[in-house]
Amino acid sequence: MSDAPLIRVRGLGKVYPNGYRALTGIDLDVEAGEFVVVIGLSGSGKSTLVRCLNRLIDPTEGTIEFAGRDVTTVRGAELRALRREVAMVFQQFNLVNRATVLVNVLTGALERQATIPSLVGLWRRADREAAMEALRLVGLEDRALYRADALSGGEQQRVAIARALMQRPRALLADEPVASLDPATSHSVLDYLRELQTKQGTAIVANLHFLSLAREYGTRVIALKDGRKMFEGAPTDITDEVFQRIYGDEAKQVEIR
Amino acid sequence: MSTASPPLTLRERRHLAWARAAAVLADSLIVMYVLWCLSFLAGHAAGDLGREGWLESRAGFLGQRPWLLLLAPLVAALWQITGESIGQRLNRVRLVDAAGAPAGPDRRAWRGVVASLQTLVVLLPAVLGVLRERQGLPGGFWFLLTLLLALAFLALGFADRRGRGLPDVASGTRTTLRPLRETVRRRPWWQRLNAWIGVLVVILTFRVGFVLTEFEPRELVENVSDTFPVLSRLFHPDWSIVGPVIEKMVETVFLALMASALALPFAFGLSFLGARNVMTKTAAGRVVYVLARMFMNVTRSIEPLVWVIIFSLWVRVGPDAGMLALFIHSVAALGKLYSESIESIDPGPVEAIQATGANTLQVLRYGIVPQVVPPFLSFTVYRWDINVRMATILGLVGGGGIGDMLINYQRLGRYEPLGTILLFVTLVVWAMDWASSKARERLA
Repeated sequence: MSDAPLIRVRGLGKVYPNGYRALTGIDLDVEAGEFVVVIGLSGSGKSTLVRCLNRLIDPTEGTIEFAGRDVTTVRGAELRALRREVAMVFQQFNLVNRATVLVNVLTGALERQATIPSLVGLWRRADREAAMEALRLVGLEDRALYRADALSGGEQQRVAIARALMQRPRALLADEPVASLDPATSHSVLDYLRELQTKQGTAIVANLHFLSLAREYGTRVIALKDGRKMFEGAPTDITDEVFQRIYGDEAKQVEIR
Repeated sequence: MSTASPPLTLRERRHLAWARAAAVLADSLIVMYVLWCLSFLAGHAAGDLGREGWLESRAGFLGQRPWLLLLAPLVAALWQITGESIGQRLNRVRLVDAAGAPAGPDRRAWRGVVASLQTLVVLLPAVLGVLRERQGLPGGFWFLLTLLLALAFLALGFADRRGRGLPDVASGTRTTLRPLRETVRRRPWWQRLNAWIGVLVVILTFRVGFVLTEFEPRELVENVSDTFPVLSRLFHPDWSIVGPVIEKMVETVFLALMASALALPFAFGLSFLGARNVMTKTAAGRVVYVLARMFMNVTRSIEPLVWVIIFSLWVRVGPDAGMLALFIHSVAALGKLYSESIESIDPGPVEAIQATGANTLQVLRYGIVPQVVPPFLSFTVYRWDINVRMATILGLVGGGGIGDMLINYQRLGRYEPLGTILLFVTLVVWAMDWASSKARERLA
């Protein structure tokens, strides 16, 4: 690896077709093995930012590089290869509800599969074994043949993480991964993400609602306000004054343990 | 709220101007409809509706002076100064002054004057056209001019930074769109003009409806005894034809089944092409989407009975013509229902599968298909049920099935065998209905 960061964002901006400006002039570097937490109020542009990083949303200004490759202009097979390396988990888990847990995990291997066999559900033996291994890592190997919607919220998010693992990603984006979960489950899900970060050196970029979680898990925190970056630093640098600037004067800190 | 309204984007101005135009159009159509009803009833009362039809016999006051219809936009313009005409309500158009408060009576009066003048200018070519038509000149060109003038006034709304039209600018009013969730203070219905207009429209519609359908409730009572002998023959079924009836009934059910089953794959493919959320990402996709929708809408609006007539010329009269007729109608009807369920899926899984780097076909297979399988099956079973019901009458126009037999016995006046057929049709349709609703319950 050269000394360039894994993800390099410069002057990123997004104006939606209806004229709404979601992001303005975002600069951001993410190194391998970092856990970057993005905080900010609802509507501050957090979701738009992470969705630009794997081009689920096309940015309108600025550049993104992933491992030295230009993300903003890639298309077709190249874009799909990039998405394979940048996995994502979502607030609503976004599993295929009517499919089994195993098939859900296997969808993480779609990019390296030939189209026709993948459409009729002919998965390679190696992929099946990798999927079971991924399920074992998130402690759900006994649930492999359950339907995805039969699982609890926390279990579903762990399946989503297993699906991400299946992609063998170098970076993982998480859009409010624990916002639909209770505090105890939140910690277990974030612990899996941290394991990925420390053991495999995967770069994590996660939007989180709770500052206490940001402090506990983040190696670096970015704060957005009205689509601009208004803070960047270590979790310990978020003083009360910074907190008020991010969330407004009336906000109170809520702890989640 | 600041006193000066903020400038609007072109998109908002366009939206506003079209909403205003739609309000005028809706109000004008309502007034025209009321005028036509009144004229029709006047013509009916005077007894001059004529054998050749009311349009031919120039009945009623509109028959003599059709140009009276041109008064409708003028009435609509005046109606709109209330700020709550039916057209304005339907299009959520609200009349306010520059500060955003409800416009006062003086401003409304001014607006009425200017709007009437504007309407007169717009209508001028049409009136000229009507006048010249007396000398035998075609009027279409003049109506086109009126349309162009209306569009020109509409475009003024695009040009103004606050999206105001000419009457708004002249009277210091502004039109805004009422937010969807705003609660409207309403007077009791008997104090509202719209309610009375609604009552008038309903009464007129029923009066005209009774005349047009020649329906006289008294007929139902007077002639009832004449039908008793026939009814009693229907209730004494002729059991000797049970064999052929069962044969025909089986043919009918299979006809419907084949049509539904063959329609399934075609409708499946078509439904993705006609789903907005799948197709409208690229320009080429939008073209295909519009074409697919158009095909489905046109095909669906032609009833299977009419398709039988077309196919009986193509493949000759028989069950195959009926099957093809049901098939093509089912493709369109199922395609439409399928597309709608594709449009209402949860976009989350689609996004997630995209994010794994899957290609378009893989996203369809894993992001969309699992979500639409239950509604698709449910719609298909329902369609089979509908098709059985349709298939029982396709024979009336040569589409095979039991209807063939039914129409023959009816023509011969043999009501006993007819009773047998009706009994079997009722039983089978009822059974299909019950089975299909049970099956759909399980699928839901």
